[in-house]
Amino acid sequence: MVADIIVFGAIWTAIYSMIALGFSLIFGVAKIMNLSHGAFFMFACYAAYYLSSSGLGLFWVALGAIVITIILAIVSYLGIIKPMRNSLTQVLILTFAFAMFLEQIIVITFGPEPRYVPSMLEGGMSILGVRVTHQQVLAFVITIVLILFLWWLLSRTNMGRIIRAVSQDREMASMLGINAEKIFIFVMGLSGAFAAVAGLLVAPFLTVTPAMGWSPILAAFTIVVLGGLGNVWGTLIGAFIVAYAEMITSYAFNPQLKEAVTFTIMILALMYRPNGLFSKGVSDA
Amino acid sequence: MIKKYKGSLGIITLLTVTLAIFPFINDSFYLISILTLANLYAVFVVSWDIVSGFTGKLNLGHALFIGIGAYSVGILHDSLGLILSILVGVVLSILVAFIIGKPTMKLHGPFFSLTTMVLPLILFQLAYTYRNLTGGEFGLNVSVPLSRMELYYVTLAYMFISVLIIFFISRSRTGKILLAIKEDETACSAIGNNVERYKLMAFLISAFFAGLGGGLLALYLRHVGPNVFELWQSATILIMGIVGGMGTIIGPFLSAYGLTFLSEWLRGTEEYQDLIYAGLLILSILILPNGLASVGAYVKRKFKERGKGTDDNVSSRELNESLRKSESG
Repeated sequence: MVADIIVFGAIWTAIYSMIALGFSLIFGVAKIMNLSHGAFFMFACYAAYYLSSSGLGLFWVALGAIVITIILAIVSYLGIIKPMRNSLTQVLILTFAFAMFLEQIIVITFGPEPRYVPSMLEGGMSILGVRVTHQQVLAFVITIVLILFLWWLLSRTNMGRIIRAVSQDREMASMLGINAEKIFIFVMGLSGAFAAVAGLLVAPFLTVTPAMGWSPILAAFTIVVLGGLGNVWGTLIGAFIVAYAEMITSYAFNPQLKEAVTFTIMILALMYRPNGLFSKGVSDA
Repeated sequence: MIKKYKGSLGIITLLTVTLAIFPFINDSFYLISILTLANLYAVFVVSWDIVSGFTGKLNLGHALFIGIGAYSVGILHDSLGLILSILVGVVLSILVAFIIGKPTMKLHGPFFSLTTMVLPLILFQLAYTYRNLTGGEFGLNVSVPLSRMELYYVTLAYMFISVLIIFFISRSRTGKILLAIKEDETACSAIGNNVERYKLMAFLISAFFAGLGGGLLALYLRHVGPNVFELWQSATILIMGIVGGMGTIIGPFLSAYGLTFLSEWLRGTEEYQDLIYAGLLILSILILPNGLASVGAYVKRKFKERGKGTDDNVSSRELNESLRKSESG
């Protein structure tokens, strides 16, 4: 049991950090609290399901699902978020509504029953005496690579410098000739791509349902609150805490209470550490 | 201002009287049943509005109080009797509102909204898991000694009383302070108002009416299941409130009736119903962020603009201005 918790905790830490990073990125840069991020994740799973059931090869399924989700993210930004971007509350309601809207579109198109997406890699292996499928190992490895890629992009490239500049002071960045709007679109696409990759990687070992997006988005929000908004390392630590808390609950108590534990952590964090675990006490930011 | 005040009061009274007479004209079981539900939704939406519309703290989980009220009746009505179990539900929902509201009401931005959003989801899972107490996914049956018609009048009376109380609170000094909190919290507390206390009070009032309404909802459904805590339950109230116009009491009140009938009318196209609701919410925020209650003002302003020949951007600029103001709350 302890080995199970350690191994699956590590896998879910990786997956949750990926979802949470996409969510935290767009909040950090554009101050958009995107509640439809989980719906993007769900949408990518269905795109993968649809493309793979129409007989395309692995590469095309992955590429297709990612491109479709990026387009969806950018269209949703331009269509509904941008006109209301100045108000956090309005954006919150809009993206909440948009997530429900997407969920219903999927319900109408594919029906409410669960779907199964074929694994990219067959077979499995044993780590610490725990049976793990190759797909889960693949998810872990790709996630680590992508997190490193994101860190490289943000800290070592010119694009990353521009993104950080916009997130620190949009007006000043605009004065220096940066088109902040373009950066927002880029980051929104990047955030959508992260949700899509996470969806693609985990779809084979989850049941794909139209409502599957809600629990990752709330877990992502918990992680982001724990780690502090826009803090990459904090996000990883937050993901670690949430993933292990969930795994301990599901193995030691009851798998059904997994999400209740995450939400309880979220509420406690919001009550006592709204600026992240590493902030100095409560302040009303 | 006074004219508006009387107008809203008139509409509430008129609608209540019409609804009270209605069964004498047409006592179709079906319509009475829908109207009972609409009465309860009117209470839910109006009690949601006193927090979300007035203080600007968006509550995304009003289902929490409804569910607590409903489950108290479901679990306790055998042992304690109906009235006492409803009261227990009310006390519990006020207690929960206090525990949650005290620390989170002071947070800015989306934190309060997300806390309220996940709370009903936690209880949803608990209700699913602890089946000895809650009956799991099948829920609990509630035996009701009231006939449909009696229940209709009970909910109507409750609706009238609670909407009136909330309406009067909203037009009193307290209501003005709540609106001031939405506009500018810092300035409001600088004048010497205890902002935290007012916000908490609004939240407790909201929990009180929703909790009692939740108990009545259990009587109406004759059954309590985990789905009272579902996201859609909260979303429906959110949609009714926003489409009607947050912070106006009368707007959400009317839209509760309108949308309950709309959803009955859409029942034929059940699979599209939720899609239409979500789409309606998106459109209403993008086009009419102040809800249907502001249609009159919106049209008037459009006409004025056309008369003056100014550009169309004025209204959107005004809109952004008002949004930015509401943001600071």
